[in-house]
Amino acid sequence: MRMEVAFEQMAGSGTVGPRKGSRSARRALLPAALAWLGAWGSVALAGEPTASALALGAAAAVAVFLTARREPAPAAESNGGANRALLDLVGQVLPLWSRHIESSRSQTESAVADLTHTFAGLSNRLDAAVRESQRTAGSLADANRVGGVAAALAQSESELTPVIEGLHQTVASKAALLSSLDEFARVADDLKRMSEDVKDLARQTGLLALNAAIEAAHAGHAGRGFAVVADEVRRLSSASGSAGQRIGERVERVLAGFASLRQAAQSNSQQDLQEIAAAEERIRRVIERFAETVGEMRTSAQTLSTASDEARRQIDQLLVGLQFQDRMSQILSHVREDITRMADAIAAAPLGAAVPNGAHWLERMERTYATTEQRENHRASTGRPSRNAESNGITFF
Amino acid sequence: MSKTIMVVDDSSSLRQVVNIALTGAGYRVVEASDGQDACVKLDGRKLNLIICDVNMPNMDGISFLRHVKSHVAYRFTPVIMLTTENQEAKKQEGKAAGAKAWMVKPFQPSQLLDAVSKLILP
Repeated sequence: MRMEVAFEQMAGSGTVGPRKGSRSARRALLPAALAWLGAWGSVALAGEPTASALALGAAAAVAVFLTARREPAPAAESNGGANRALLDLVGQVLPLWSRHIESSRSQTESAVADLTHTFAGLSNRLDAAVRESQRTAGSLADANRVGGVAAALAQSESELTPVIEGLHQTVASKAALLSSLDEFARVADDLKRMSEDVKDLARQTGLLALNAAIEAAHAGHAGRGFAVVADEVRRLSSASGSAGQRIGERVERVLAGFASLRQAAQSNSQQDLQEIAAAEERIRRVIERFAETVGEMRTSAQTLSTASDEARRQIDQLLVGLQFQDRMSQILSHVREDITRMADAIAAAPLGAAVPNGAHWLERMERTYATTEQRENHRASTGRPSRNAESNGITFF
Repeated sequence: MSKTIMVVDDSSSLRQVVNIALTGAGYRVVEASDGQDACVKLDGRKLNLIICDVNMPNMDGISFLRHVKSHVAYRFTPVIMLTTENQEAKKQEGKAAGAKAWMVKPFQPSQLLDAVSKLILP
């Protein structure tokens, strides 16, 4: 049975006539509706089994309903009664299908929004972990970046170097002191020799005074005055010798003190050099260990960063993938709206309303499509080429 | 101070995706669920850019775009249409209404950020 006749019989009175020139379009309406109902299922892929089953069920039921109208009726009266019953059934079922589709659509949207939120949270936490790791390990690109272990290492090295230099300067100062002590020791040696000279002069003067006294004794009474002078010279010579002796002793003590001081200073200087060398070695080892740790942390941060980049790329791909829900939602909304329009048309048919024109219906459907999938399905069902050019990506005006 | 972008889309999951991409790049985001909701949320607030879907209930994207361009405060605010619509005729309709760019879903977040950085007002 042809669709326009079916519509007449659905109306029951035959007052609703078919529109001329729309037979082919009405023939196309059935497969278009079926393809259209299943369109979002192909977009959703394995996304939502409940919605998919619902759409396929809807398509199958519409097919059964419309196929029933193509079969020859045994009698016009019973056929009209059956059609009225079917009309009543479809009028009750279509709003329910529409409600189920909307329910599935909104549930999917809510679930995908939750999924998106969860993945965004994962992505943000991953970013935070990588940022913290890189901040701690120091920037891989810039070792002088403020903060981080690399910067701390560089700062430690720059602060420890002056400490070592300071120790070396202290040792150098001690060497200068030792040099001064050596100069003092040389002066003291000179003083010692001078004291020996004084003692030698006193001894010679004493001998001269003794000879003078002997000569005075030979002179007798006339030499008595000279003897007194010689005696005084001998006494002064003896006093000079004693003074020279005391100077020599003092200088000896000073020299001994210098020698002791020099030995102690030399000993300290050697010890200082050894301690400085040991400190340098310790600092070098600590910095080396520190640098090794930083290197490991950098490697770890680099690994984490690479893994994070990959995870971010995958999450970005996932966020692109999750956008299928938007397309599915638009297709489902379109299906729901058309089911509602169909239900309204069926409800209005028994009241004498004009039967919708198939060509107009299809044109309106095509005009309101929002996705390529809908248009492709429409083309596949109607066999008509697209009237409009399409292009994806971004266009700047 | 970070720049503010209004995202108008009836799909909450799509708004989430756009929001994540934009906030991750340091932008502030104001969301609206359709053109009508967006008109209410404009409320004289300073916007540096608007990203808008086309097919939405209550008020569609092209009608909202015309409303925005008729508003003296938003006459120069750049608008990117983000939609599943990929027909040239629709794009020309968007261009005539004052859109600066037309991006077809699904989109790569990086692609959207590139477009935003090119068009956003200082």
